[in-house]
Amino acid sequence: MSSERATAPLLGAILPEMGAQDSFGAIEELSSLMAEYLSGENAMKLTAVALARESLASTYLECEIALPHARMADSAPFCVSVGRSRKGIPWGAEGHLAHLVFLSVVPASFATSYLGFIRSVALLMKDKTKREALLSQPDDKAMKQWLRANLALI
Amino acid sequence: MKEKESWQVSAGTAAAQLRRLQLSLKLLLRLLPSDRQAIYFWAALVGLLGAATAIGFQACINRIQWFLTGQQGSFVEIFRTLEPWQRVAVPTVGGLCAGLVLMMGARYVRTRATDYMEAVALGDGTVPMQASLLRSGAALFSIASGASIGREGPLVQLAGVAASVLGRFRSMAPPKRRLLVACGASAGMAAAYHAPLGGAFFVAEIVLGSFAMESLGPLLISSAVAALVVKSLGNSEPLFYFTGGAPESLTSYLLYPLLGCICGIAANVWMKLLKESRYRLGALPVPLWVRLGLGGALIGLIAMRWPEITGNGSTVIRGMLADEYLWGFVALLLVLKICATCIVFGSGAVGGVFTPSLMIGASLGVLMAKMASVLIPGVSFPSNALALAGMAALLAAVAQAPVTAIIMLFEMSLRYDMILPLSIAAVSAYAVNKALHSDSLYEESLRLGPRSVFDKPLAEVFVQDILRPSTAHVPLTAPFKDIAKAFLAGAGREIRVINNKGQLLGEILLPDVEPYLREETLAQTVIASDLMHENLPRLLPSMGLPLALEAFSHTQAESLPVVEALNGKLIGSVGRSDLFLTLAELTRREQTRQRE
Repeated sequence: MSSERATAPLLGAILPEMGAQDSFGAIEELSSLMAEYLSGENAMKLTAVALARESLASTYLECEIALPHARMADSAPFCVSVGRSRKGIPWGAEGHLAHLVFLSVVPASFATSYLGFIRSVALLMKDKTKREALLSQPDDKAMKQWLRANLALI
Repeated sequence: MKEKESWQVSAGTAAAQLRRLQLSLKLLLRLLPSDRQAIYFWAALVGLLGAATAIGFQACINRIQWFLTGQQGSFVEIFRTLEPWQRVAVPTVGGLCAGLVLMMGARYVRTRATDYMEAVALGDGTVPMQASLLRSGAALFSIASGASIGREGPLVQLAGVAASVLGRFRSMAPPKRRLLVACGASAGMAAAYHAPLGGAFFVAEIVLGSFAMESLGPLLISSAVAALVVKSLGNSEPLFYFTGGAPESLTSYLLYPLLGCICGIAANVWMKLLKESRYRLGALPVPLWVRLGLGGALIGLIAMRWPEITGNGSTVIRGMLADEYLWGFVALLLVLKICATCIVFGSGAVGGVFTPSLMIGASLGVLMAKMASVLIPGVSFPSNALALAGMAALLAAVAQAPVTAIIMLFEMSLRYDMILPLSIAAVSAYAVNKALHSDSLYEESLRLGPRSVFDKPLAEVFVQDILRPSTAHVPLTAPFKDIAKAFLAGAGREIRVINNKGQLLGEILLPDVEPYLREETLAQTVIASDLMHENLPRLLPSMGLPLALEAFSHTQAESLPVVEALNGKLIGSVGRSDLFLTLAELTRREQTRQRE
């Protein structure tokens, strides 16, 4: 019934060492990197929208990753940027440590694609060896390469 | 340690709960019928209710009949065995009881009883329960005491009430509720006359005025289920089966159009007599219970000499089909039945004149056969075939429904070789009756009944007139588990997402939900805001139906939300099938008005 066709997201910026101390800081940090992929208005709104979603309910998953996202106007591309924190960023009210943060920009009508994407991320990251492999990549280029090899990303 | 164990137990329970939800939702997605398919399910359920109502109503009649006469069965047979004083006493007591029930009940029930026909043809499918039960209770006493009146009216009314209650219980929108009440009526007819096709066509032709599959399909389902239930209880014999008698020569066929013409004229006179009797007897300056008691006493006085006039007339019809009566007696019965039915109907008794009308038609058929045999010697004119054709012809004329008449009489006799004579007689009677500009038997109900949205021109009907006030919704932060539960609770294929002010934010579609159930961690993390579609069309209460139709053309959703224009608050939804049913009915009525 949903008219949306499943679409893979565009892989945006990679931040191998995040400096943020909390989830809000992490979202701000990754949002600023996403600006180059978005038009002016969408870029300005991104942080606020992602933070608003995070304040509704935590996007932390039990496999030490967080999947914050912002549903933007349909003019925005479906894209994702990834940040890594070896020491972990306290996430949500319970303060779980997130070592990998995937910030997605999702056009409003892309509900199915977005959920398909976070499912595949969750499945991949549940595998401890895969998660550690991503965490151990030396730099952003290697991380990008690894992500493209293991996830359906453009 | 203990804390850890209890945490593990609760985590395990939550996972098991989630797995159960996943499985149920997957099943739901596979099995959930569309809005249009769901009506067939409700039609079948209404068929069951209709059959149960018919069986229950008949059981009540039998009980009261036994209480009044000490016997059960055909009124004619019972009255033959009664003492003369008892023949007067029984219908008098029945009439008094019926009158008292109506008068006492009127003190407590202020609502006017809306006929099922009014509810479907004119109203919004609401049949008041208390008032209908009251009238059916009164009808029980009249019918069970041998009054010359049919049981189909209250029986069908009760089936309609059951359907209407179900429709209201399920918060169905008016168009669907109307269709459900129509299904109840067709189930009641099918159960009473063992005529599944006849029941469906009766409602389609007379009440709905349309043979469109959108309505005829559910009607057929409900009447078939009702007929099946009655059949499974061992009551499957056709009501008016007879052997032999089909017309053989071409000459004998010539009599059927003539019989049709006579029945067309007779129907006109019959309708006028019924109307006049209700007007004149209704004007008598006595309380209702006295009037009904007097009506019963008069029937009793006639029954002292001729018990054949008691009951609805089906025993006498069977006698005519078996060629048991001489023509002089048939002529006498014809006059007496007309008088008796006019007395009972005119005194204000609750009941139908369907079967009494059939008896008048059968009498005319028999009389014509006897007369033709005398006038044209050497040609066989089987009286039972003409009696059956007379029934079809009179029914076609009084109900102004030739298709129903042909199908019903075919089903009541199960004589395929009679289809041709039935058709000729029914169509001739209908044509003559139309030429005489007669009223239909059901005209009064349709003239005096409540008006509804379906009676307005298309331009004056808005979304607010057909909206379903309750629609499943969840808050923006609702976790996936709550969303799944809402779908499982029968929310349909769309769930609306609202904020804490009740404003509509978006919608969640069932197919979006299903794929994400397999991942437990995800199911715990996903909330309504992640799943909702924000750009689906929405309707305003003041929107016209053509605009609503256009909005539906942009989506495959089965229903669209309706929001207040000023503040965007969710106030209900409109189903695609409800909109189509309304447009079809409005268009049909507009065309009828133009033809008239």
